[in-house]
Amino acid sequence: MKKNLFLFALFFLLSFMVGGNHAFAISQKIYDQAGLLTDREVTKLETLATQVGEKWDTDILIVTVNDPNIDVKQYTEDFYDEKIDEQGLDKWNVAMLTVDMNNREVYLAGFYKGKLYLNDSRLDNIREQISPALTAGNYEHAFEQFIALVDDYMAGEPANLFLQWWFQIIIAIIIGGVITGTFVYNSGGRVTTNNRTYLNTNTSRILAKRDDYIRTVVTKTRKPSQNSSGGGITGGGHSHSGSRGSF
Amino acid sequence: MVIHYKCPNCGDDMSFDSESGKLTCLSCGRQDAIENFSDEFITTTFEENETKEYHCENCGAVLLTDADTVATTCSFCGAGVVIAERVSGTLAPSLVIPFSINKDEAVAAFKKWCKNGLVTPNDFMTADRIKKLTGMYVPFWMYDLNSRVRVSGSGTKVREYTSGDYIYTETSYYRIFRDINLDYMKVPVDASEKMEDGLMDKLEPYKYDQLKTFKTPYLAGYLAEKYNYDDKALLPRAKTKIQSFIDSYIHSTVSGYATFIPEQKEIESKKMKSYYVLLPIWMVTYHYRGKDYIFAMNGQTGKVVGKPPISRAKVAGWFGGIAAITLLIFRLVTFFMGGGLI
Repeated sequence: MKKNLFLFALFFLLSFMVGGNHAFAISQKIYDQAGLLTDREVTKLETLATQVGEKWDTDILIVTVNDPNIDVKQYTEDFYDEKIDEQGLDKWNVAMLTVDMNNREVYLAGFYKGKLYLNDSRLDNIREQISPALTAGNYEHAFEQFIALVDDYMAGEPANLFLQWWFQIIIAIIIGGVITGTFVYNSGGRVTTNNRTYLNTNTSRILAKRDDYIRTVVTKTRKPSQNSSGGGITGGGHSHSGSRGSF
Repeated sequence: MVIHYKCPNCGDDMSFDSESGKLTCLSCGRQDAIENFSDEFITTTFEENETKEYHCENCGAVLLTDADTVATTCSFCGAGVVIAERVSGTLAPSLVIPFSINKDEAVAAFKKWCKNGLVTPNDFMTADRIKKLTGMYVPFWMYDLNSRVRVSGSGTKVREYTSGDYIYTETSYYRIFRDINLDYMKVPVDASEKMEDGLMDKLEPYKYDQLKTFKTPYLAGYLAEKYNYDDKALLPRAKTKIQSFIDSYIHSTVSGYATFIPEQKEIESKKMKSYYVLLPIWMVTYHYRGKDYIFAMNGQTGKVVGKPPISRAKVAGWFGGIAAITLLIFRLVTFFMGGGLI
């Protein structure tokens, strides 16, 4: 019976795995609205982004824009919302780079699987590495670097410590050790008395009590600001990681 | 003086029957209620003389006992006998919990316990090598303790709120005082030199609704010992036993605080009453791979304690199995969240 239940649970989980976790690829990856790249460079980057994206089931999008009326993070979020609606998807794995030429700002974002592998600090790291090339105006090189770095991170483990092998192995060993240790410790019988076993509840009570207020100490810390760099949630309700900076 | 219960019907030996709670003759089935037996032997004080030789009332053979034995069976004819001098005067127990588990039930309970062992070797779990099973009344002191606790310390309450760009943490400090009266009733402490304290502690709890006024016939057919330590000598151990109970009671009276640190704690525990009690215990000697393992079983509830042999293979198996399944679950979670399975 127990075995059957276990098999059923496993089957249930497996059927979930097949159904979920799929995102269709969008055909266009490079949106060079600011005209930073030549046609040949666009084609080359398209091929590269498609290759790496297919490998990790995550679309790699590069968007450049030159519009004085936009905020680079807001623009990234709106762009994602627009494209996901166009495709009619619930979730869409994306690693995205937006370059705002007007304010000379850059924003990197990870959605779903992209977010899992590229958290804020990893995106910060990527941004710092591609910034010199962007500053120098070597955009094609910067975008190539971006794709390569995304590829590197996606080939590794998720950014969250709890999802990484070594951490999970340590936790599994600790759990196994504690449970087995309890078995051995309790093999000779457990103490089953508690503080109520011998207590006479009729006569045991508080005779007197005092709770005197003395003082209050207030400390304040600045709220971790959500607007500077880092991720957020799009208008369409999709949570993402992010990194923002100037170049 | 040696007491032996002879059946008034047929003359055979009578002994205590755990099922009916009566003095029973195994030959003709006669049963006598123990409550009606007189206390004459208990109130009489005999002269204590430990070198004295006792003879079996039934057959006249010399009884082989050590100085602590109160009840035994004659090694010659098998009749259950009680040595009256050792349960009389200052040595008279005031209460007894009779056996509720007889020998067969004790074997069954022990076998069941062995079978449930998670880390014991397989060939141990069959429990087919019980070498000796002895029903024994072990002397205990039970204490009624009154504790007056006065404790003062500091406590904090923490409130967190946001206003503007800041998160405010408001910690309020309080001076806390509690004056508590605690009564712990019939805290048992074993008074036999031979019994290991830790083992006896684990046998608790006993069900006190079956506490009976002591009568010698309860001992018929079992072994019994007299105490080696008097109630004064064991009082400190009783106080230690309730220490953790008191601490957890104190904490239960300080609720609604984020932290509580007791700074001054005055605990005054007094003995209100003490009872000399005989409690029923089955001692099991189990032979396994050339070694004897001793287990004790609560003769009232069937709870078993003792140190069983540990199978390294089983420990390793549990450890590996649990760790592997945990890791598998972690990997599945990782996979669902979009990470790789391996």
